[in-house]
Amino acid sequence: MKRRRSILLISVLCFGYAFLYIPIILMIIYSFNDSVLLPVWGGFSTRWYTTLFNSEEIWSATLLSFQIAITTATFATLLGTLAGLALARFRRFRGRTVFTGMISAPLVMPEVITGLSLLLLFITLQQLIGWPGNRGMTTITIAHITFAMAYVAIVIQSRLTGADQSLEEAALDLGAKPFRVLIDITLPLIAPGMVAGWLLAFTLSLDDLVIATFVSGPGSTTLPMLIYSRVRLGLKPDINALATMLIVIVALGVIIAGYLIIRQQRQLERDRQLAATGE
Amino acid sequence: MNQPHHRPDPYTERPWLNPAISPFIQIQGVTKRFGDFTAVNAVDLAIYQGELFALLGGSGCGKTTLLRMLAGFETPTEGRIIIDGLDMTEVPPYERPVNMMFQSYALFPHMNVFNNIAYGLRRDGIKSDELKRRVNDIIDMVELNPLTHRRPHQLSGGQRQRVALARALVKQPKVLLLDEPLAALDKRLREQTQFELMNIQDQLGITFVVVTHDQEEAMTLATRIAVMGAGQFEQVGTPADIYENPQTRFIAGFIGSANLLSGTVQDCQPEKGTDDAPDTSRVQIVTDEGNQLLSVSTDRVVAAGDAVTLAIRPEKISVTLQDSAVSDTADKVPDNAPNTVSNNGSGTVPGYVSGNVPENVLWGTVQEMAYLGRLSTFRIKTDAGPTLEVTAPNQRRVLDNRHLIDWDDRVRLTFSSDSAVLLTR
Repeated sequence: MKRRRSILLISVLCFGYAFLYIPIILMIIYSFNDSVLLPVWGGFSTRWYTTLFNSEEIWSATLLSFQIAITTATFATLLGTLAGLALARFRRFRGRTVFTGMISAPLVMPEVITGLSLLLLFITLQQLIGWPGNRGMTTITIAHITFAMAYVAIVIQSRLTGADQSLEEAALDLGAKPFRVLIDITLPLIAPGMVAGWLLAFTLSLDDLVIATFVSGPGSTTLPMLIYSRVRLGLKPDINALATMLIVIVALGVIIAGYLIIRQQRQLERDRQLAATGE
Repeated sequence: MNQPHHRPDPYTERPWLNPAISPFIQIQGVTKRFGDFTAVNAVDLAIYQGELFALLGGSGCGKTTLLRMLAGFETPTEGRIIIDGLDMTEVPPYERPVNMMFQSYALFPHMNVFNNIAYGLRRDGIKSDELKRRVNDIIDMVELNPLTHRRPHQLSGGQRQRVALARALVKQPKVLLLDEPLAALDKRLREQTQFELMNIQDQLGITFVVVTHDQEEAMTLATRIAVMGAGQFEQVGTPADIYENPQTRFIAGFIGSANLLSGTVQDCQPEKGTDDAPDTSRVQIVTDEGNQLLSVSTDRVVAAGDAVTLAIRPEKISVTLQDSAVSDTADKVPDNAPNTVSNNGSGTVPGYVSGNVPENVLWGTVQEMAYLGRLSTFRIKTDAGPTLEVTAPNQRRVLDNRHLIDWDDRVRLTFSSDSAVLLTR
């Protein structure tokens, strides 16, 4: 039964894609613009890429952002996994509802408020115990871990809630002590969730402007902060070049992930046929 | 019954009757509450070594909770669990000499068949040669040899079931717990696996405790069955005890099918028992529906006026066409006839104490008939009122679709007084 797709549907689809992707395509095209003025086409050139690679400022901001993102993702995954385990596996403990609420609060808290309250915390701490001496990479990282952890906890919790708890019981039954069960069974079970959580935390941290602005100090400028300040000073096409590079990296990542997923699905399909045919 | 010298020691088959043996698993006054809900309510149970014991009941009856308490996943709110003389009530699952086969099989998805089976032995610190030998022995037993390197998702349902069984058996537990072991298999595989399970249990002599909701499965597998309802045991006994001598209406209806006729006791006359039969009473009851007078022999104590229920299994009622019944002189005068000879001669069950039992006779019309091949089942509306379910074996071939007894035929139903069971609860 073949149904002719209506012209309306196709045009809606095209419009949707155009809305999403034309700005990005324009930006990529303009990154090869020779003109200094952003909206004026002055011929093809790669000079903004050269400028980009020679810009000390952009390199250090990128490096800082990546350092913060990697540290954040790692710590957020560790802490978030523990929280997720507690949420999904310890069924009855005192204050569980409060704990659940407090874990998910950062998800709904406006970033401005998170940023402001963390800034107040750091200032108070500095006055009381003299730490952190100056705000910068450390404070940004702590702030990012605080809110990224909540996302990881939710990812891990949903993964564990969906998983068959009898696997862990079976391991206990076969003589594994609880810590052994965690290592042998639970962690392999939630490993995909931990990878997803790490990537999510990494992205959130790399992307964050508002909280970083609040808790950073002089001399520590992350990439989003740099781009934002550049916009206020007047955009130069080297930002286009930077964005294009980021898009290429992200697109490569998505393509590789997609390829791996498809390969895994084909393998699963083969396994299923193997199981169905019996011996 | 009269040839004890042909039988082995009755206690090896039925250890629960031997007062000299103490039970292997003792469940003493165990209660489990989840908040306000009482899943298991003050149950006592003794299971003996080498038994294949079935916990049977519908969903939510507490059978799985009881099994999980034996495994150590739940701690009883009250009461004690003793296994092989040791109090296991507070012992965590990883220190119990008990292994469990889960309903979902719970195979570790990231390990292959060999490593799944070896997991328990590795936790006990068993290494290299001994590990390999023991795992391979059990793999031989459940016939999984060509599949040792496969992951669980590369196996069929039956193969997974065997891996789960092997994994639970390889540590040679004192007790093997099986949670609905056959529920996930299709019918043909289920029957085959049932016998495999019984063979394995016989070979290893491990005590099995099986949880199931399938009464046929329990009847085939088990040495004894505990039927559970609402957190308590309704009856504990051998499959034959439970089927032939149900203690309550619930049991009579739950195990197999039974016609349940409620009525009132009209008369109760004690009868002196013989050497191998206890004293019984012959009770006349009047059914509530249709005022039919029925006679039943029972060892229960009842008095005239008591409200009781008469349970009679569909296969224990014999059904004949009205016309042929009239022509058959032996059955023509059923009441008080000296029919001892005809009963013994017609190949009834040996040991059937019939004497000169006045049979219960009812007349009726076939309302529905279902032909099931080896037997047919009938729903018969009796003239007195109650509708009875009756099954009859198809001893003669049905030719040209002409059934001996068919829809709307007039029939005569008879059953002897000791085929029916009198229930007071």
